[in-house]
Amino acid sequence: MAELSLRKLRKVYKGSADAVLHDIDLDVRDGEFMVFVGPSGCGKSTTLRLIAGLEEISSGDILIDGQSVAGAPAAERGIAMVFQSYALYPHMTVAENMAFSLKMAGESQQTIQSKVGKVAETLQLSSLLDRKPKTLSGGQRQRVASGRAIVRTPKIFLFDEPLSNLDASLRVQMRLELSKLHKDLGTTMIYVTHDQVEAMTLGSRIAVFNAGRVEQIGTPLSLFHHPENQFVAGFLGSPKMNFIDCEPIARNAGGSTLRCGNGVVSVNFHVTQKCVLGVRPEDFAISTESVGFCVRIDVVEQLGDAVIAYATPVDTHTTIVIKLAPPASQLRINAMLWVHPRPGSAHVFTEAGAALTQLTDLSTERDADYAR
Amino acid sequence: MSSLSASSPKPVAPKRRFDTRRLMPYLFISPFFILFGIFGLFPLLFSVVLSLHSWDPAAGFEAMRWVGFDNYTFALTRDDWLHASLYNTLWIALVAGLPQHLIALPLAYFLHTCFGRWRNLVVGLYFLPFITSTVAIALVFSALFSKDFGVVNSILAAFKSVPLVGAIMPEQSVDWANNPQYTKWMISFVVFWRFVGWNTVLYLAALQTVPRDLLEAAEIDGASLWRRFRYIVLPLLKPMMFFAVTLTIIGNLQLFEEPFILTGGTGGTDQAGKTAAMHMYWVAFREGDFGTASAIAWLLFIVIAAVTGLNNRLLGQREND
Repeated sequence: MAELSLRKLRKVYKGSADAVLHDIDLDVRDGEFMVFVGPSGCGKSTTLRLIAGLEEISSGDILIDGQSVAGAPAAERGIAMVFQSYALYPHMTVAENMAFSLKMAGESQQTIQSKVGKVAETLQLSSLLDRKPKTLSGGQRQRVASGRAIVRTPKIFLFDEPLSNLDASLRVQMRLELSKLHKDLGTTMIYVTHDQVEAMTLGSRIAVFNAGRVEQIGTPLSLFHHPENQFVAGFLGSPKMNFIDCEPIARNAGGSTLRCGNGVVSVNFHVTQKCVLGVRPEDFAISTESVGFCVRIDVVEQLGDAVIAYATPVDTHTTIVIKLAPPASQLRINAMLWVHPRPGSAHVFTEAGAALTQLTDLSTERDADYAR
Repeated sequence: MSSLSASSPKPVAPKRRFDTRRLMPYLFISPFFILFGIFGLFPLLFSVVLSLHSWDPAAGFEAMRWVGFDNYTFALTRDDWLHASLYNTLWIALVAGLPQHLIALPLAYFLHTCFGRWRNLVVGLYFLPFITSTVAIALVFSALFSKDFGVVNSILAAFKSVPLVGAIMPEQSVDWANNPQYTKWMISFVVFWRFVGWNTVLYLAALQTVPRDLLEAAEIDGASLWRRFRYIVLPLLKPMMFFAVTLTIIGNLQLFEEPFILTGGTGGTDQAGKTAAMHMYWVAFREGDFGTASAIAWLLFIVIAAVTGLNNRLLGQREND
């Protein structure tokens, strides 16, 4: 159990002028399941490797329980890591893999056997202890990798995209197992993924990375409902949020009226500059009158539990995505419809991408759903 | 109305022609089989036949006389020089071969982990002896090991004044080439020097296949650089070790060029540097006894096969590995 703090963490690779991490400031609370999420090359895995001690930091500091570990070797930081490839030693049995760190630490054979046995029992690996990794399934390998980390009783667990090599159904199952593991152990965990579903379902809090910077940190729901910028709004949610360029055309006492492509939307605050309207696909509703945007449906996808339509607003070349509950019989190819954002669901961003405000009447329980 | 029975025309069998299209693949692949047949398979089988005959090639094929296993019996029981040369061969194979791997393995790991952009240059330097002419190498080493003017003796003389170490240094200059006590050491050193780079390159190639994740996992698990080598890298290099050691065994047990040139083709004083391959050459081309030489060749083959088999038991992949 430990707290982790990153202070002005910066990483520049030798021979490169550009930093891959720009002054990251981040605090992970004791017992928290923190998820680093972001697109490929955003710096999330680099941050994890710096925390692990597998790479040297260029400047800044890493503190575990208030103590700087920036110069400490990986083995002395009190961390354990589960790799994307699991990094199981192929020539060793499951038991030997799990016992390796204890053996390196000079633990007695009796202690090793006892600790490995206990963890193996917890993870239902007891029957596999004499097997080599190549004879195990993906899920079993993932469990062995977790077991190898648990045996060390680390202060902090680091997971580097541990589920990305599994098929979809196994990934769901292993996600549940990891959630249970965190609940049972109560240890601080940091989990890197590019999969927003994993981030949303596993994380106590999520840090969204982009181009070597942390865009926003918060609970999954606070990030989803109150994104601070267009990147976070676009990254979380599937299908991703629609963005439509707008400009104010009228101002009244209660707010402004915006022209968004061929549609007109009223907002409950004053807008004086060009901006971007953000609407999640599931936040569109079909208008019975000529309100919102007039669109032509191009493609319809039937997912069973939802219908997704790709539509082009009239007189534009952009595509918007609409997600409705079935049967949504109005969503037919080449149909012309009027759609509008549900009240309080749309977001407005500046042209630079910062959230102006959300047109919402939802109570903002930011961070309130932490401590799940 | 006449009834005409329209009989269907008899199917005409297609004219069988020489189908060149079917022959083409065999034609294209034939050069290999022709060359292999003439220069590979025929000499191989002929040497089996020869080993069972007594033959003076100058007298033609008519002079071939069946002797059964006499050549083998002679080589195994009465050819003292063969026994001595086999001993020399095994001695040199071990003394030159073992350090090749004991040094190449950690050296490759060191180059792999600690060298950045200069790695290829250093590897190239180590590899250089392998592609250098054996004659040139032997000439250079003959000069280095020269009794009166050689650098090796000069270095040994310089160490004489060093306390403790000086006591074990020879009193006089060592006659490496002519003193039977040292001939094998000299040959072994040259062979070791020549092939250590080759083995380093083999191990470096194998190291590229060791996933970085494994070494990083071991680092987090608290394994030092040495322990990562001992517990992770070394076991994963086992297939390459088997391959490299097999090549060394085959190469060293057939050693010919280095000892031949270093000892001027004689095997040195007391024939202390004469290898089995040299003896075989001597019996065939100096004594003209091609039958016995062929028998020696097949005996050497059996020795090589046996040692390679032993190596397979020690380092080869097992089903449960």
